[in-house]
Amino acid sequence: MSQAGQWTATVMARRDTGDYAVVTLSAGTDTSAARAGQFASVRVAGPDSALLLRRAMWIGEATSSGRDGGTIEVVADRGEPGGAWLAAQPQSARVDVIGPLGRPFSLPRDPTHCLLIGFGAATAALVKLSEELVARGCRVRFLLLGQAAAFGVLAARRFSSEIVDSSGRSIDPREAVLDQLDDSVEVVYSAGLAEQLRPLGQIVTEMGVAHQTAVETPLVCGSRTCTLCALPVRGRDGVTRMVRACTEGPVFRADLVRWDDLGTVPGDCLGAGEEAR
Amino acid sequence: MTDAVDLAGQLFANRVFAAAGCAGTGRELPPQADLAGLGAVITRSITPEARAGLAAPRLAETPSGLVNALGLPGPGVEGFLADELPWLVEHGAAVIVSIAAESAADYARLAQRLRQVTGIVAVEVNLSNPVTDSGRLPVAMDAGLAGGVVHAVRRNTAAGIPVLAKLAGDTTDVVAVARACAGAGADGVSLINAVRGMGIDVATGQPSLGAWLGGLSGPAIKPIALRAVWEVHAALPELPIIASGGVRTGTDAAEMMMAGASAVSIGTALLTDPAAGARIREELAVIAAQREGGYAGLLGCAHREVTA
Repeated sequence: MSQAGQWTATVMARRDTGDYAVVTLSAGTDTSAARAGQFASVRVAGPDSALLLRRAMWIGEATSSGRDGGTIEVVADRGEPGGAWLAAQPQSARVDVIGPLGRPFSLPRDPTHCLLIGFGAATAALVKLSEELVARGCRVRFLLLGQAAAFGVLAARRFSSEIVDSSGRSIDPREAVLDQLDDSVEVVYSAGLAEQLRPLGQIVTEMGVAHQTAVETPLVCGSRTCTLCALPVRGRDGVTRMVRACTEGPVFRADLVRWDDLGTVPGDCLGAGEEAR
Repeated sequence: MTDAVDLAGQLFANRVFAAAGCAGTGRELPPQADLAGLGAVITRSITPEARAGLAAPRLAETPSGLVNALGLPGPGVEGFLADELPWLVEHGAAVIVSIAAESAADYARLAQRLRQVTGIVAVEVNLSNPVTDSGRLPVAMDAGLAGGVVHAVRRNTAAGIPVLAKLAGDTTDVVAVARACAGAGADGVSLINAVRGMGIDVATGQPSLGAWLGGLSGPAIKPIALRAVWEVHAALPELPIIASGGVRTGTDAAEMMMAGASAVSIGTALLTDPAAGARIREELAVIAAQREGGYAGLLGCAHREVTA
């Protein structure tokens, strides 16, 4: 992955939708390279803030030809102090941003029937993905789960008429997914917190459907060295390593993620057993 | 006025270093971080073997601080020498290698291995782990153990390469530990490592960290670091000190120098803002320029003014 830049963005606009705010930032740089599944790392609450970690925010739409050198939309969770800070910034406020970061979704070569499963803020990554898929002639069906994300529903309608919005409701995500995973679905794309994605990971793999998953890490460091977001993932060589969602991810092949071992360092992981006492 | 500083016979371009573990391998930083513009990059602690690190969560945000329990994840010394050191050197970083092990003999072997390569300007001995003989006690909590480890490293390190001992701010008598390290051959000390701490997640009723206990860093510990620097400089005025612990502005750096540090290393500040190094260096330069004697006028001046 190429090295992402750090830049001072300007707040251009904000839309509040329920628990989230969609904030448009002028990049002052070319953001046309931003791809679905990538995120921006936003410094919150100013230089004297007691909040020391940056916030990872999914990139929704990105334009390359704005008056100020292109814009990106990011999704801020207003229920979290850092997201609330960004959502409260007035127009023209300056914000320290690093990005676009991370490995994006891979797109199918041919027109494909895709099921996109998004949780809360991560729906933004899938909306951007759906735009790229539809442009390639793919059929896109949405399943929205987790915290209600009205911005996602509105945006998704531009690219698909097949939207099942189960967000904001207490339902078993496995059942919701099985309901949608009929024989016509060729590829699944999902995005959300690791704990939200865990129930999906296994059942989609068991059904033999290709599945790419974008793992959300709300808090990140600026140097991508804190390993806050490390999770066990099997490599193509069969060896499990603790890898960083912010750098090696956030998009992974779901069949390679050790879903049952999230929150642990599996005993067969490279370097396991040498941890500090 | 030059920014350069001589530490134990080694010349560094300026006094703002990246603290161990916070600049990663260098590759992940955005270009604005300017590795070559830092006085030195202290690597994450290199261990004899590759380590996966501890279970998640490894880091939690606290008011003006972070608690972490990473478990020293990394590729081990051979992976470091093959993949990370050459990249850092190629990109102009002055590399101080931090090392950590579980016995004095393993520290010695690490030092021997590093002796065989070029591109390293100093070795920092991370003493925050326990060793075989210390039970659960971090080495840095005990003057005798710390001195033993430093002696093992110094004996196996080339004469022109300074050995720095990284000490704890929450030990009972940091001066005694610093004295023992200096006596064992340390050319300087890094003060302080993260302070032992923890967090509780009220939603789950469980510790915030996967490992339960961790180390607190960031502005929350700056007063603890200042005190450690002050005490060690008062007792051992000739011993070079690299201060770390909550430095995020030039003013913070100046305070550390006034307490007795020759240089500072920034850690948590880099996690918040990878470009912090250049900013802090410039802010410190402005403060030094306003001071009679420049940087030398800052160094330890708080002591002189108190005793005058």
